Amino acid sequence: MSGLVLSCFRLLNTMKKAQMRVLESVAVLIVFFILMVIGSSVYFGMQNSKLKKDRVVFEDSEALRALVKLQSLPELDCSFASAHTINCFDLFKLQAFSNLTKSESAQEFYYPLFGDAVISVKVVFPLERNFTLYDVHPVEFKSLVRKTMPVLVYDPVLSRYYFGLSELIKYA
Amino acid sequence: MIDNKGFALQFHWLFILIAGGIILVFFFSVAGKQKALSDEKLSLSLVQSMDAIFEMAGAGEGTSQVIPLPKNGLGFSCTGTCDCFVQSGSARKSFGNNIIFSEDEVKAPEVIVWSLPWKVPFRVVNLIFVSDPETRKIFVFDDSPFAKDLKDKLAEIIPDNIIFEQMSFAEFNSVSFDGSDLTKVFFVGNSRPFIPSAFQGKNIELLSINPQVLAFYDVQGSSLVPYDFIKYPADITWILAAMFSADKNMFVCGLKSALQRLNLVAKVFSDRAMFLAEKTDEMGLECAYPVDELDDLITENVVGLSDDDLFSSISRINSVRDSLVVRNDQLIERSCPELF
Repeated sequence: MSGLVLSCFRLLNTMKKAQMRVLESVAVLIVFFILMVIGSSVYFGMQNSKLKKDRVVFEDSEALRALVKLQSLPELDCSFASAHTINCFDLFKLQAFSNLTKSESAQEFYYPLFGDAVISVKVVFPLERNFTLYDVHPVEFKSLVRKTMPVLVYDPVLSRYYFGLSELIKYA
Repeated sequence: MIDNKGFALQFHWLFILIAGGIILVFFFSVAGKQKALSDEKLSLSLVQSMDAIFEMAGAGEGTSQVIPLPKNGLGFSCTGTCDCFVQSGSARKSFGNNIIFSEDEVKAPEVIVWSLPWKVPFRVVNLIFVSDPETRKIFVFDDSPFAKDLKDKLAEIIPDNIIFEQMSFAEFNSVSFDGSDLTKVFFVGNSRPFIPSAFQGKNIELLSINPQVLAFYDVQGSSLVPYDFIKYPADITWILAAMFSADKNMFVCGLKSALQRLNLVAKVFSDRAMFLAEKTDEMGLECAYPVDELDDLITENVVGLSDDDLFSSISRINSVRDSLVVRNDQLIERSCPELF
């Protein structure tokens, strides 16, 4: 190592003035570029992390919106004589819809609405039943968002409301 | 021969050129990366806000909202294969499951988004109508019973914040041009459409609505050339859809999307009716659920339907709709769980 340093010094001693100036300019440029690269990588790193945070917020709100949208679907809602009950699913529509979305064509249709997600409604009281309403999950994913919301489930035969939970797992 | 000094001078300039070039390339790459990042951010926020607006409008039944628009305005278009997009600048987003009827370009600082449910008789989907408040809209009614009936229905259904002028054929002949960038004129009835002298050479779109046919007109100088016709069931929902559409293609694409959605909703209602029939049968109730009629609402191969097939499908659906209303009333009379 010391041999290499010594030979560098010897080389510098033997150089002419003009060569020294060129070497100086190149060194200044190299330092300038190193500083620029460090500066820009820090800047873009910060920008990227901000973008990632924005994406997390976006995915979170997308998941929530999908869950709200689910409640307004005529395929699932409790509406009779043009009166729509908020936050309510029809028990038999749940059953019919979970059968419907097993088909690829139906999954394809609802994909723009829900994307890569698993949506289920669990009736928790007084009876216990689980309906998987939509199931399109990717093989690989970077992150997932899970949202749950309490809902009412209406049994039109017994004219009775049950307590349930709708759950959405959104993959990104 | 170049001496040492001359060589050093040439090298000096060459060095400056190369170093300057490298610095320029570096800054261009930084600017390019920054642009890509800001574009992604812009399209993300645009997509988020557009999705929110149209999905919430689609979820809310019969709502009419005034929505601020981005500076670039919004463009709406459908291809021949019914790939429909909303566009702002370079950012583009598919309509998705939303069924939107709009002018092809909305440049006003704000826009009116109105959702109207399509019922058969249960709600299938909320159709979304986008209206540019800066576009002048004129209804021209003749004296036919069809025109009178439609006039009353439109007055009842169109929200107050969407302004339409209403006039007779005689009044329209003497109407003055108010400087609007676009004027949409809807001729209702059997009389022949025309352009008044004040509108000649101006940007004007014409739709003629008679009891059987919707005709989209192209204005060429002072003459009108009908460029697209479609037979339609004289149903207020689809008349409104045609009125808000930029062209026949957007109208047909919206109609097909609605039929595709109906296929799924009808399948759910049909299965539900079967479950209800089984359960009520077990309970000893005499409830007859119209499963076959619900299945009749389903239209096969919607994408490939011709204009005439579309007309006959909607006509068939309308007649099933009327029969389902009767069947539901019978179920209610017998204290059975309702169909809808």
